This record gives sequence, structure tokens and C-alpha cells, in this order.
Amino acid sequence: MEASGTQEEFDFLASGPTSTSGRSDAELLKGALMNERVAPEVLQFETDLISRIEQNIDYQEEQIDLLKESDDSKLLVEIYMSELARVRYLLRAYLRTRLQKIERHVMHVLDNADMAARLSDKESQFARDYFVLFGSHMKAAAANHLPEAFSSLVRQAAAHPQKDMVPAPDLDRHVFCRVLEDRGNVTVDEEGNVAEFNRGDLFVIRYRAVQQLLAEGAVELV
Amino acid sequence: MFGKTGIELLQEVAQCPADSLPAFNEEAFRNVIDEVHLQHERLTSVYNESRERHRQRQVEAGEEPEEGGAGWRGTEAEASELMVYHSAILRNKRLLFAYVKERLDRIQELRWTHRTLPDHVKANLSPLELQYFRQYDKLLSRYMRSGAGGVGLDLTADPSPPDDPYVQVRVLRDYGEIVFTSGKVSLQRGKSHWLPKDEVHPLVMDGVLEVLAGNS
Repeated sequence: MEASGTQEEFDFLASGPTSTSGRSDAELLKGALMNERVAPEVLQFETDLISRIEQNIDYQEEQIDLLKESDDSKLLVEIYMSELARVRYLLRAYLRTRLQKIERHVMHVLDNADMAARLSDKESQFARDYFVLFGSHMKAAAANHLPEAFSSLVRQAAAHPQKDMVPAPDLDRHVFCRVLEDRGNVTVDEEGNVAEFNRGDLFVIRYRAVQQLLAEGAVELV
Repeated sequence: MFGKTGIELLQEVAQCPADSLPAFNEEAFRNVIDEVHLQHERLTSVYNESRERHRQRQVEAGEEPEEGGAGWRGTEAEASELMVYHSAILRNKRLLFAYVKERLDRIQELRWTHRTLPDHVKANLSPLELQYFRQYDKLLSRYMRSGAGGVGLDLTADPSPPDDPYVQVRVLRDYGEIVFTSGKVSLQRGKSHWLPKDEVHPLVMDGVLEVLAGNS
């Protein structure tokens, strides 16, 4: 009995007590990765989930080392190792996808307190350093050679009142999304048109219309 | 024609295969900058002349001359001339920025896919761009390092989902002894080994190992 108890703790697919909505951390991470891949903007960093995953990886590594000492658990070690490799892959892909989006929209993200708050501490640090690096290169390589009235990195011309040269994510892009919670009628555009969101429904819809629902966890992107 | 040099400059990069870069075209780049300065000079002089004429007329009519941009009254011809210069400058600026940015994107991409710059690319970069690569390398390594301030994962490793934890690799050049989680292995040219997939990836990128077909 003792042995089976340990094995259950190994299993990422077994639902831990901390995970929400009956999904395991590995499944949640997979969902977070899919959302992050599909969404045009950087989403809220999954702080709790990622720290649980990181702890779990450390724990599993220790257990594998322990198991390695006995010869008859060789198969078990292999299974745990591939499990671990998969979770690591998901985690890497998640962090990588975010980093790429942060790079692409670095000025928009830093300029916007709401967006900046979605980054992890490490990502914030990266974004700030990246902006300095990217900005100073653009200035040294191009902007500084232009007449002063046109040398801004964020405005096309100094006379323009708005920052009209900051690349921002296209929130009107269409995405595939699956409904996770019954929400009844949901307003999906400016004209007030509604669509019925029932659990399990699949929509092709502009991202902006489901932005809020995604943040609430009522839909997932696929 | 306005913007012609700029678009040709950009096409040089755009038409180049994704994993390489043409030499930084200093001359064409300079020419576009000069064009912008010429356009800007014309823009300013047309603006000032027409402004001055308007001021003269106001003074002659005994009115108080208006200040700032709001006081500008020009003919339709002058207005269109200003618009043409203004849009031409914006277009050139956009082209120059796109040129510099596209090159940066590719330089960054190489950090992710090759870790170091291949020689044929390195030779084509400007000193500023070389510096950019070094600093980007440092920045990314800092984010990925283990310990304080880093996530402790090599995000450039393993871009495809894992299937088998081990892969068969062939050693392309002698590399000495390496300790993998599966044990210590002496990497000698020509030998092949079964090794943990996520640990061999950096060595594959460095060209020390190659993954044998059917195991990728």
C-alpha cells in the first residue's frame, strides 16, 4: 500500500488537491500553453500553477534518483522520465511563447500598466532590459540619423499627438475557442449581437469578444 | 522617385532566405537618410516661406500676426506640397525602421536556433548588430539561467514535443567525457550512443552530435 501511495504522488495526471475544476496541473499547463499560443496578446502569468509545476519537477527528479538505485524499477524510471520530459517540454514551450510575444510587443506591454502586471518578475526584468537594448539599437542604427521632428521611436512624427508607432496585438483576430462553463447569452460585438455559450460549444470568433471570458476561465482557446 | 531606394533596401532583406542575411547596405541606407533630410529641408522651407508671406500680409493689413501652426494660411498648392514631403518622410522612416528591425529579428532568431552566429551571417553584420547579438545573448542567457533571476530551463532546447526520452545519436567530433543523467559517456568521433533527448539537444545545435534518422 505504501508503494502505491508514492506512485500516485508521482503522477502528474492524477488530480492534486490544489488543482481547480478537477483538472491536473499538467492538463492545466497544457491549457495555459494553448491559450498563450492562440491569444494575440500576452495573458496573465500562471504564477501558482507554474510554481506548483516547478516544485513537482524537483520532487519527481529526487524520486527518480532514489528509484534508480534499485534495478527492478528500471521500467518505472523510464516511465517517470518520459513523464518528466513532457512536463518540462510544456513548461519550456509556455515560457518561450510568452517571451516571444513580450519581445514582439515590448513597448505596448511596458507602456500599459495593466499589461505589465501580467508578467512574472523575471519576465518584467527581461522586458525592461530588452526594451533598453532594442530601443538603443533602433536609435543608434536609424532614428538618430533622421531629422529631430521625425526621430521618435513611438510617434511617426513629433507633431502627432498619439503614440502611433507602437506595435500592439491585434485583438480582432479570429480564434477558435471552446466553452468550459455555461454562460447563456453573451454579447459578442459592438452592435449588441448575442450568442449562446454552452459548455462544450466551439466558436470561431474575434478574440476581443472572448477576452474577458478567457480571463475568467469560462472558455479555452484551441 | 521618393521612397524607391528605401523599398529596394528592404527588398534585399525580404528576398533573402530566412536563415541568412545580406551585408548591411551602408550606402543605400545613407542614401535614404539623405533623401529624408532633403525632404525635410524642403518641407521646412516651403512652410516657413508661406508663413512669412502670410505674416507680411497681416502686418500690411494692420492685423496682429498669429503665432504657431494655427496661424498658417497657405495656398492649396503649398498645402499639397507639404503633404507630399511629409508623407514621403513617414514612408522612408517606416522603410528604414523595417529594414533595421527585420535584421534584428533574424539575428535574434539565430540565437534561438543556432545559439551562435554562423560565419556567413557574422561577416554581413554591422558593428552595431554584432554588439546587439552579444547583448541579446547575455539577456536571454540571464533569463534562462538557474538560480536567482532565471527560470533554470534552456528554452531553446527541444522545440518539438518529446516522444521517446532517449535518442540514438552519432558523434561528429571528439568532445571528451560528458556526464548525462544516464551516466558518463565518452564522446568519440564516429561512435553512436543512446542518450537522453533533452540533454543532447545543445550538443546537436553545436554540431557535436547528430540525431540518427528515424529517431528525430
